[in-house]
Amino acid sequence: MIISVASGKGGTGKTTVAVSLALSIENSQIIDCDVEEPNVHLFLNPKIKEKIKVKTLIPEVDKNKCNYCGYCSQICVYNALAVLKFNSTGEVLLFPHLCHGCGGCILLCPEKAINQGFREIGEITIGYRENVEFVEGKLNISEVLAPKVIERAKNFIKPDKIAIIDAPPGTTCPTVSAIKGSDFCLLVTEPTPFGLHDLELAYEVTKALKVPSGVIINKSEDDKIIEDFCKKNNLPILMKIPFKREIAELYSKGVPLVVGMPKYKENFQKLITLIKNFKK
Amino acid sequence: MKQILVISGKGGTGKTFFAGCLAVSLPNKVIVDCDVDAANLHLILHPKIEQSFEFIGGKIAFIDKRNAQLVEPVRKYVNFPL
Repeated sequence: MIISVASGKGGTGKTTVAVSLALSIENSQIIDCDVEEPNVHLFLNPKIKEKIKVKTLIPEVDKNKCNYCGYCSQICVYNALAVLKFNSTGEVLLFPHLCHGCGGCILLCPEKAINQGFREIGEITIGYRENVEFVEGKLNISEVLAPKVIERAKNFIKPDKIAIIDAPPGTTCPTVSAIKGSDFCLLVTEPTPFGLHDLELAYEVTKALKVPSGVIINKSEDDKIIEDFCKKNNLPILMKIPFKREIAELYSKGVPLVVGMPKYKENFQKLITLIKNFKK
Repeated sequence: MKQILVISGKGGTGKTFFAGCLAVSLPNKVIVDCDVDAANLHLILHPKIEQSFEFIGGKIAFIDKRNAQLVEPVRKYVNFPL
């Protein structure tokens, strides 16, 4: 079973929920798909077993075969290639950050002058803490191909485990890549106008992906605006984490909620039961 | 003219809050919400909307039914889901 933890707004408590959930249940795997700023490791302190580079396809031009016809540059929709032709020679310029690695230029070059090359864009880290398996995707700074790293991290999901995906905030490609294929999506929010506004957006994403979802209210106090929205949309509120100094202090020290306050384990175990029942 | 950028790596640290405070305390300014996934600044500034328009920033592929027989061979080579 795959459960993704998402939110439109940043800082609502996705990582707090994902880590505590993974630590509260048996047979879990946590996949940190917030590849631009993965934070799960700060709470989990996993032992690292392995690091794997994530690479993307880029064209490599064979200067002996290329006649600088410019066809590759014409067909590249991402404008990643520019061809300059002089009298008898020329130059093919590649803008690696624009290349999406589709391989179109390699396939279509009339002279078969383009070969497959690879460029590193990120890294997958594999580890564990006690019985929790840890997988983290990390995108190199200034790279744009977050979905590629996310999909690579998700390849490590084992079907016999309960995989918990910590998704990036927002509503665009990286978020979609992280949530896609989940059996259930937990939408973490806070009872503020900002939390509500971005919950609405995140809920739209789960609907578009046809992933059933439920809400967790973090920093819960006066939750009326969120409750009203959930009622209107028939969206279940599965858990509330109270707005308490003690919880904030644990967070500020990087201590997972269920480690600092073990009584919450039961709440997270109940959450899994609720999700399993929801599936049926 | 000065351009001031408000960023953070982590979400929920207070970018919008801070930008909103700057917005009300500075004279002669233009405020730009660039958090295009989940723009929130309007929730604290409550601006009067004068104009809004669609932004087109890229191309979208579609399958030309007349050449549908080409889809399978392309699917084999190109590293994108088609």
